[in-house]
Amino acid sequence: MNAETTQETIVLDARQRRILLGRRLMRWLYYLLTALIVMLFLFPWLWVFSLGFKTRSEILSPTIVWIWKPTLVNFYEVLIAKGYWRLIINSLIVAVSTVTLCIVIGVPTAYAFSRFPIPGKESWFYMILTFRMAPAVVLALPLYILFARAKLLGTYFAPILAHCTFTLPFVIWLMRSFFDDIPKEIDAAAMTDGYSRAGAFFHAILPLVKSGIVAVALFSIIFSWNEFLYGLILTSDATRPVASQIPSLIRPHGTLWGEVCALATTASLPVAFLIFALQRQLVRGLSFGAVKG
Amino acid sequence: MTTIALKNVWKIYEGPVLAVKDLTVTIEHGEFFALLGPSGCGKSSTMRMIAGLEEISKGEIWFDQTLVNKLEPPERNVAMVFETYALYPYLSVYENIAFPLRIRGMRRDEIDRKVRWAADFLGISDLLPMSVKGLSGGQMQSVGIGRAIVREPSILIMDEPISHLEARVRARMREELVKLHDQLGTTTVYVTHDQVEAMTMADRIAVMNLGVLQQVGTPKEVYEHPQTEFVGGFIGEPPMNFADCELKREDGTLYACSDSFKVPLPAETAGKLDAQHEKARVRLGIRPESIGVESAPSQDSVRASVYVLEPQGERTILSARLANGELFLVEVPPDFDAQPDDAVFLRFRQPIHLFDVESGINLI
Repeated sequence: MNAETTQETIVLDARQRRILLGRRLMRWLYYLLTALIVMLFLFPWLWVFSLGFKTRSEILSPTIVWIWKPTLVNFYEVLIAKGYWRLIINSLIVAVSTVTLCIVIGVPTAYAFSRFPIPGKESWFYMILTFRMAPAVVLALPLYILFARAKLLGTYFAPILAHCTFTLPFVIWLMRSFFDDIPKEIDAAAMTDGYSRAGAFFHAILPLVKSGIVAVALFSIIFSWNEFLYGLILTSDATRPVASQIPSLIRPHGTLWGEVCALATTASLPVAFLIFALQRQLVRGLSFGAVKG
Repeated sequence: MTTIALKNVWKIYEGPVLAVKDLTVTIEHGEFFALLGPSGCGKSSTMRMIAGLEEISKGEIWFDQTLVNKLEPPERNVAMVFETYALYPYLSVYENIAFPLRIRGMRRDEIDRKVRWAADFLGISDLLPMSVKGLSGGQMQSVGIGRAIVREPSILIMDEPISHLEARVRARMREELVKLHDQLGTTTVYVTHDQVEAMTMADRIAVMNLGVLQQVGTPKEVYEHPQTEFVGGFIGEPPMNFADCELKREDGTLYACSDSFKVPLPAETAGKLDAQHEKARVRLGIRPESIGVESAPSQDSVRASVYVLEPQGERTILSARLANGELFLVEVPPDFDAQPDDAVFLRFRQPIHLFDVESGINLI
């Protein structure tokens, strides 16, 4: 800028100032609303998290203890002394197996629904969805009898197969919409390029729905990880997932709140970590259809 | 180069929906053959059956001396170019073109040589390292064509390859595709609903409607001698004019008569009609350029009034209203001037086509 240049001041009239102020207000309102929503979801978890680090007397104190010296005694008691760390492994085995099974079966099924002229296709499709709609308790008794006869009660297979009843329809339902969004010409291109139908599916179509599969798998893991009823009634102490074991900390002489919260915190960490690590894929997967427009 | 022979081919989808009815046609080796028709005419089903993407309900498809009914697409050595490009979005331009070669397990240096040849041939060498996501429609289609030609297929199928492109690029791509075919000599099946594309590019055209083959011929043949009323109306822009009329013989001359006109037909036309049709009701068809416009009445001219004038630059299209309210399109010189409702006198020149009212077949 040389010496001759005069600095120009932009003068806003009253109307422009009002518009500018309105925009700023809207932006702050938006931030405030976002913060409120985040707090709404985060607060219960932070509360549980904090209780895990308090002693029993601090937890049961009539007034809320805001400042305290964190202790790991609850974590030690529940995970090491009671040996509940094994339940986390159980949950991992059940959730990972459920999701693997559902993805392996559900993704090709969804592709078939999307691409092949199956007789009565839509009726079949809605029938699958009704499994997802049914409350878990409706299937609990039949599944119990089935697994008892098949001698699967108390094994890992029982919760894994039971979790598939609601996870598999979810995978099929969502993956079908992802496949529907991919032009059928890509299949045709891959087949005329030299792949069989299966080859086209694996090499040309699957790479396109990778993000979708990650998103669906993540949700399925969360469903399975948090499931309570089947985990409780179809398993034994040795195979029970962590979510179903928490009520065992409610004792006749009182609930062990510190241990409940320590276990809940520990149990939520793997899923939280997974979502955090894969959040980019998750968002991309969820917005798959929208992006394709 | 391969000759494709479709023998009594039917395609019936579940429902049942008849997509292709008893189609018999031979596409000669090295030919640029267009399958033309409106949507739902069966051209895409025919194309997909040739490519092996669709099962044949009935009939046979032969590639030279090989019956291909049961052959899977990879076994047919057919390459396709798609309307929506159908590129693999997660691969670069290079990898898209190399894709069919990699499936065949070709050596890396051989793949590189062929990909560069195809890219060079299409003038897209600069694009090779780029992602296909950022390309323009024309560039994407060039990549699609590159992927199709790189493996030197025996048959090249193009499914409305330029319909998605903007008008200017479309005109350029038309020329490019014809040049490509001339240089490669591959038997090419070009599927389109755009008669201009078919007329300007193809050696021969098959016109289809409602699953039925209407006519096969060179562009000149289908334009000048449409075998059905549908072909007459579908080929040509502006379209052919049609009017119901009756044939009457007076003093040895055969006339096509309606409420609004009485047009004498040449002896040659009359000679081609059989006795049954001579007194029957027929559909007269005449192209806009076969109608002359006069400002004063003369013998055998048809009285009409100006409805709309559509200047199109090198020509003007006059929409003329006949006495019974029917509108006829007439091609007039660009300097033609008239006001709405002005009287004009139309002179029907040869060729005049007469179609059977029931079957739509050209009687001449």
